[in-house]
Amino acid sequence: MAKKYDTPMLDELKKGAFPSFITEIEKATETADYAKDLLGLLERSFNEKKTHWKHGGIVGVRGYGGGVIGRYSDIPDEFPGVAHFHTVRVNQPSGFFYTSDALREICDIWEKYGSGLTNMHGSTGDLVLLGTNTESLEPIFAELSSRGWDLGGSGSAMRTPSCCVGQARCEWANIDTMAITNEITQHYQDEMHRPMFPYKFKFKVAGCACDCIASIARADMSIIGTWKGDIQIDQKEVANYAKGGMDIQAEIIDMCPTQCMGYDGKAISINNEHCNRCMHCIAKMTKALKPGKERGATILLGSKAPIVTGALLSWVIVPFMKMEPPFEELKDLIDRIWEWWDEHGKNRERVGELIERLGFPTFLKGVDLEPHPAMVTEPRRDPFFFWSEEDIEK
Amino acid sequence: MDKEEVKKAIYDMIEASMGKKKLKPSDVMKKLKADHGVERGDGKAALKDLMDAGTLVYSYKGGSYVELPPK
Repeated sequence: MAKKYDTPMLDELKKGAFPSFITEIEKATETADYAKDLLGLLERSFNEKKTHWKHGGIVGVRGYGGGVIGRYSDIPDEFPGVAHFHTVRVNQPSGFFYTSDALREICDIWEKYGSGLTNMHGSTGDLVLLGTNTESLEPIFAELSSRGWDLGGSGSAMRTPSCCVGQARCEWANIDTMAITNEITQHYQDEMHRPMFPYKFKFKVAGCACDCIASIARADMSIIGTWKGDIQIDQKEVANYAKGGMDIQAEIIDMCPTQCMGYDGKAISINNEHCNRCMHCIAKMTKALKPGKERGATILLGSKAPIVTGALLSWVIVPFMKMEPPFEELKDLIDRIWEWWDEHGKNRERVGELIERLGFPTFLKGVDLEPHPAMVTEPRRDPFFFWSEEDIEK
Repeated sequence: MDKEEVKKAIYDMIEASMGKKKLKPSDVMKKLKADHGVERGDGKAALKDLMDAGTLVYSYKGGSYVELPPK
């Protein structure tokens, strides 16, 4: 097919061993006119070293305050095909499990009303459909919702919660990440679709401290599976690992961050009181070591990428919480945190930034949590709560 | 205030703010509470009705705001 625009700079991006997004956009020109002007606009941006996209404004589907990110070209007369090029976020299933039929259904709808381009999944987790016009938004939403799909979150709202594959695919998962994610999603529909917060709020649920979805860095509330009690050891399997060539001393014992493990050449011993449940040994010796029998989650709060201020990692606010349906203890905590954040947060202030501004003691009092030594800002730092006058008098 | 009165109060508030200061939904809730003693839950329900009817719309500019729909 003849090209609408010469794109020498974009053509450079088709070279090399790796898949190219330019190649994929060129393929999309066969089914959607959007893609032709998208290539022209991109080439122009690369030449001028500046973006020609504007975003935001009043765009969406009736009743919802999120799920569509308005995207416009600032030179619509020159590239009319991408005068509107809105992004549609579709709420992904927990754990990102799809049938091939479900994917075909989404793609058919998207080729009918949009550019046919997707970069699934976005960093929040949504299935991201790239590029459509304002007139197509309501028809897309109607088709999606009639087939059981829903839009995800955007704006100053609860963003679409996401999780690792959890117990569906992973033997290390200490909690049912998919059930927790689904419950949060269903229970807080209003908070996701009708922005009411000072700024965005993200949940990510990880089954264990390996944290495959990087919840500790990417979610305002990170829910990470953990356990209470002693790590379960099968010494026969320990011997098998040694027989198989594993250097247990170097690969396991010496790598333990709290140095709470020992190996006498025959058996492993663990001082469980000093274990920080990092999962290193369990992940390396899956057959020999298993988490303790009492399972639950550590709740952490506050991480974010650098937008208004610098990046933060989440820190512990509840060292251990049982995670059983209907997750009332978790929901009660979430409600208290949101109420405090809503009351005190400035516009575009994430909850982690608010805690930094007002102080951790104020946060703990505000949400009725007891101080705990596990509430550290970063490794090997003292907990950053302070004694008030009344505490000293006690 | 009954729900219809709360809806009218929200609409009037947004109409008066147009062209001056964009109001976030939480600004609306706080002002409803301060001016009329309306609880957050009642305010949210009224705002939801207004959004569902298309009487008001959400907009985004670095954060989410409530506005009158474009003419």
